[in-house]
Amino acid sequence: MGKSSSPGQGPSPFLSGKRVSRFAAGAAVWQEYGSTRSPGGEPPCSSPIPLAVRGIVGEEGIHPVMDVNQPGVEGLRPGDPERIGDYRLVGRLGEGGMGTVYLATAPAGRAVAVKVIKPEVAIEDGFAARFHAEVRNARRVASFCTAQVLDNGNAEDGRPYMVTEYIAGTPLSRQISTYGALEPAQLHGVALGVAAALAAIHVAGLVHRDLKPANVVLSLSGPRVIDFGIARALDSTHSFTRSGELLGSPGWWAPEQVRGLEVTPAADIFAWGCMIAYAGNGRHPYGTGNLITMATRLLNSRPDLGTLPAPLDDLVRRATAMDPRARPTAQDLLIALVGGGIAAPATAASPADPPTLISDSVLSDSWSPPANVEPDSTQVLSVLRRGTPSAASGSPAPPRPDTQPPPTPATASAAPARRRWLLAGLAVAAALAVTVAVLLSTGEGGGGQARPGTAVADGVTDVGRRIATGSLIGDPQLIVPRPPRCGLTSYEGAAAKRGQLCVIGVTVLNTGGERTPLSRVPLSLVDDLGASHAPAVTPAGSPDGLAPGGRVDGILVYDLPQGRRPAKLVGRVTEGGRKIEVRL
Amino acid sequence: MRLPISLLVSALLLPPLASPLSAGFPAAPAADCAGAGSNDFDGDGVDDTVVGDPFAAPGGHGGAGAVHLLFGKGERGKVVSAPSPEAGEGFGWSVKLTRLDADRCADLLIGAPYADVAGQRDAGAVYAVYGGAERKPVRLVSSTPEADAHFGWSLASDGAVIAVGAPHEDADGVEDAGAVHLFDSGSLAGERRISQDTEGVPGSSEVGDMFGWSLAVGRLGGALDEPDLAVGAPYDNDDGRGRQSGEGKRDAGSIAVLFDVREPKQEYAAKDWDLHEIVPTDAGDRLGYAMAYGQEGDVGYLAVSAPLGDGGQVKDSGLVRLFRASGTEEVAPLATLDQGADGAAGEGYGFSLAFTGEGGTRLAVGVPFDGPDQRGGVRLVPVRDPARAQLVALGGAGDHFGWSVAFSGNRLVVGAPDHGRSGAVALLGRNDGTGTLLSPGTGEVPALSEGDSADFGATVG
Repeated sequence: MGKSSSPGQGPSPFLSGKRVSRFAAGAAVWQEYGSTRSPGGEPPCSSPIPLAVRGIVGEEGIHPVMDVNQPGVEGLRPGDPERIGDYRLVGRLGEGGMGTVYLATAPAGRAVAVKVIKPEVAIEDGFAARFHAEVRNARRVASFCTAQVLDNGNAEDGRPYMVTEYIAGTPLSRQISTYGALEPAQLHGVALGVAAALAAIHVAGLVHRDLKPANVVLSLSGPRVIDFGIARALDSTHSFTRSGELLGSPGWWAPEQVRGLEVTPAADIFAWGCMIAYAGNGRHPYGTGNLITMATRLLNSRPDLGTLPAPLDDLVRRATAMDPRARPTAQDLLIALVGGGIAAPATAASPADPPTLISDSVLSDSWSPPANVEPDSTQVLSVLRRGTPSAASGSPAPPRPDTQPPPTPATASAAPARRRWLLAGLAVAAALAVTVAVLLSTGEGGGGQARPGTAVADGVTDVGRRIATGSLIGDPQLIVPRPPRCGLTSYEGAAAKRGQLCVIGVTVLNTGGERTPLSRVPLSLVDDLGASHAPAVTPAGSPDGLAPGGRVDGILVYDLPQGRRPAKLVGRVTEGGRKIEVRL
Repeated sequence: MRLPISLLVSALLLPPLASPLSAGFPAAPAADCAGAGSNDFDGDGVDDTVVGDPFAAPGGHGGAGAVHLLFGKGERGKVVSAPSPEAGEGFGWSVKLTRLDADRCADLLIGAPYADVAGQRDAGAVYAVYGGAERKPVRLVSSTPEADAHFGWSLASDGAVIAVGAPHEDADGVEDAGAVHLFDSGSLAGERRISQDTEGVPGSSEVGDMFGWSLAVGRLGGALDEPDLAVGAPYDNDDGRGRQSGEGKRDAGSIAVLFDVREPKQEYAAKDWDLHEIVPTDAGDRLGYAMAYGQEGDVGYLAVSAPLGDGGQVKDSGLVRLFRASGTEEVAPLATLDQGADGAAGEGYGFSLAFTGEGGTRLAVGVPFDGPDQRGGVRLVPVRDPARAQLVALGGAGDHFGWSVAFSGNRLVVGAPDHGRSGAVALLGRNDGTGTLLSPGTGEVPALSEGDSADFGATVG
């Protein structure tokens, strides 16, 4: 950019000014990795078959307080395979009635969790097909307060497996059993995060069916729901259930599940209510006891909800209503929890409301992890280093299996108006900084199915679009030609210190008639939880301005904690210019 | 400044097809071009379309750019990239289907204004790709490549002469004054460099005029058989005659028409217009931002836009100035087109322009920032009856439908480079108000074999 630099002024930190000889290859990437923490020794459950068929199991399965995960990662055992599919196994995260969960490394070297189904389950006729169908469904769920499902396949021995991100953190079950009830602020965060996860799951047309404290991981970035979407595959496995082995977690069943009635999203809401009561009081709302005792209480008495802070007391009471149709939807919960109050309980199909926008920043603002929850990416990495050769510098992760998002407005002028409308309609506090939003459809009623196929705006992107700094006719414009690449441990000599590097190529073009000074403050990256990050590497030698026709292609490198993903770039491109926002 | 007398042949012949240099080009169809239409690259009798994506990353080379050839009969299109793509070249920044050689098949000109040439960063290059008989593609550069000149920013051709704009060339030692390079279509030789200081060319090279930003070649006066050249300088200040700088109405823009551009006498005969000579002007109107030439019988039409002009009294809504010439009349202003009271500031009426002569001359005027959500649109204006203009709007929010326009036979081609991640184009039949947006990888539009599309539809031709 010969004419674009003037030696008299210092370089702008906005971009690396060198002409990038080659953009790193690779399109969308897996931006997060994590794991399903298997419920320790506990098989997922969802069978609607009446209780009597199930037989009796020991009490340990129904003591929520005893329901703890094994902390940390165990080593592989003799007989464990070395790899499953493309994933190299490096440790065990847990084992249940249905299968084993391994910590593994993806081809790009990042940590994932691989859940492999047990041969005796997998052998069922049609099980593999159902399993893969369910996993495919689960992959549609917005990775929003959930552990994203990344991949599925069949191992060499034919057993089906699924791959999810690895969520570093403490399962809620272990948190409560070790440290007792959550503080009100954390409780609110868990309530909100799990409600958001359920909303994302329900809007994709799925029901978790096995929501329980062991399936909620408290991570630094917020509570995450794991292990969803595959329980239904077991429903049709009749001989499996006939075997008398218990499937599931009776303390977290909804009454209709125990009765063998239709399971709807409302069952997850019931489990949410029980879980929040449990987390807020440190004890289960139906107490402890054997399966029959628990089931009897569940069907015949009101839960003991203890003392919960408002508005959770009211929400939990309604969530644990016996009649599924009387329970709020996940979105009702979300709206109530972000301060909008809750409408009268939906009892029948009510007219569809405007879509609900819930900001990531609302969620992140509400979340401060318990003191004992620490970033354990270092642990994970040390585990990985033993198991795998270090990831190659800048090596791309495999393409993320997502779909092209629907077209959306790229202009900064149009979007805010739309948001305003939505927020006004919901009476959400105006002070909330609504940033990258997750669009949730409004449920049709308390017990109704969430409408599947409703657009989920997670993944809305301005990638490939021209972003105006003023008029597109005569002012500089910015383009992020390709999606960010994340999950890199190092990039051109810079190493990830907080977890992962995200690398974003940016082109700025001055199609105007004036030499335009570039901003000295580099663009910030806002992650999916609303946290803002400055570039990890201060670009050197970037031009301080662009001449007419001038162009600069640069690379911005950000260091993000594990599990975060880039949501948008914000800041000024030109000195004194207007603030832009690029949804990634 | 005097026209340089000794001009270098700057056409660089590329190695044979088998080499990596030509890997990005489609194998020339071994077609009989006898029945070829005017935009018919493969010679099958149906006009073809070319779509540029200057920010594509073929082979992972970010911003190297790519061009997609879409064939009129609906067979699978082809992707063209530079023989050895370099990151950030902007290949496809400008595209033009024209005729270069003697066969009747159309040939393809592609600008790559950010290509480095002979060590000069962003000097710019143009590629000629031949339809019809097998012929190696040729890379065309300035004989005096200059850093940041952006040779290839704009292109025009009429079968006899190729004009290549280099609007950021420091012509005559004046920063970003701009220049136009002419080449003979057949030989790609005979380079001739024209700036505002060239003898007979109206105006004078001033800082930041950006002469050559837009170009059109046609029959606009002078000798009957000789092509004339229209050159836009949208950042020229409306400051009266003589050399000025930074005075007058900034960036009002101007255009000049040079007659018999191929065979000038001692000096060029020319006409020129500042915008104020046509309509009341304002600073920043940008007359000459886009241009198009169309012909119907012996009448030639030239359209010139001022996308920030005050069309229909609406400030900065854009306007298009229409000129007319015939065998007996030199080019002269005919009409001013705008959206009347429907216009809105900044919507960019005239951001792109194209003519078709088939079935009554029609002008397509891109309005890519139309609508509160910048979905964009195209106004189709029958030249004989501008009041019957139609709006074509197929884009969704933020698509910038109308960023580029062209005609392929009687089909209108509209680019929407911000549709989705990759961008899209629409191909519309004569009376189509509806159509589908096609992105790389949909329909018969080929996706890049390796790498991402980003700005597909930024240019069409």
